Amino acid sequence: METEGKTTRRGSLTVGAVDPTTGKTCEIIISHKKVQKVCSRSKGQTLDCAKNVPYALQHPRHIYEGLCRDEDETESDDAGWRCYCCIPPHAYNKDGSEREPWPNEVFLVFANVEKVAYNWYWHVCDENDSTQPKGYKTRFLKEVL
Amino acid sequence: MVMSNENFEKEVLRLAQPSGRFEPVAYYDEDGDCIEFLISNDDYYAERVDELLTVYYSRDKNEIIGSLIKGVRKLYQNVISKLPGFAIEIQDGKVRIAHLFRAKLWTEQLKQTSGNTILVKTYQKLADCADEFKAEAEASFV
Repeated sequence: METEGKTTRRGSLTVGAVDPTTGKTCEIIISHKKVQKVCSRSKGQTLDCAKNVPYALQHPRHIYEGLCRDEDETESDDAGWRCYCCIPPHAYNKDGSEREPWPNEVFLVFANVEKVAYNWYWHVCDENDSTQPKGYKTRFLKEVL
Repeated sequence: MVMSNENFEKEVLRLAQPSGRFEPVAYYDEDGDCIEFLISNDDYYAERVDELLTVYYSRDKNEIIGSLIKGVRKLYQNVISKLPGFAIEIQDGKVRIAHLFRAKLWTEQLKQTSGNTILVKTYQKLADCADEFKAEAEASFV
């Protein structure tokens, strides 16, 4: 699945991800700017970016597509927008030390229609299904994996 | 070409700058059409409170330390259509984050329910935090 590559596309990194429509690997882009902003916060956030983002994209437990929005908005606004959800094997404290995944939380990575991952974080899990984010039933248009 | 996980990790670690003293930060991300606002670099978890807002809570104290505002272009258009004078709040290409939180409340017709009371308090708390730190972000969504 993985191939050697280098920094590409105007100051961006690329990472492989499961494409739920084909079952194959697709390319997800993350800008240098985003990486630098996140990594300036703490070593823990740096390691979430370096290790847990690829893990979520390549080993998702669930993938959602599209956002449920107000009635005056069309679904096409979000066509192709995806949220990857998983519980990675590790989480990281602020000082970068490794620990068990945060209890009652899932790790989410958001990618836009251009396959740019623009955000990721640990989110409270659903009270009835600890593998899904709280509110998943009303938050997303559909679950594609 | 997709990078190997090993090379991706190396590049992330190379790009990571040594973190000095943390300063509260707000910025607009064009890729996500969202504004992220953080007042602390404590460990945090996220919880979505409505279609627009996800709140970051510190793990240690369970206090609000930041937020993610999504759909900023749409929010701005909605606000401008109802409150045209809001355009004056964009100054030197920047917008005060507190104004966005309050604009959201002023343009919503929230029913008096306990859930909405919590929602309003959350927006007000974020607006107060943003005011305290005079947080502003590039308004490239205009």
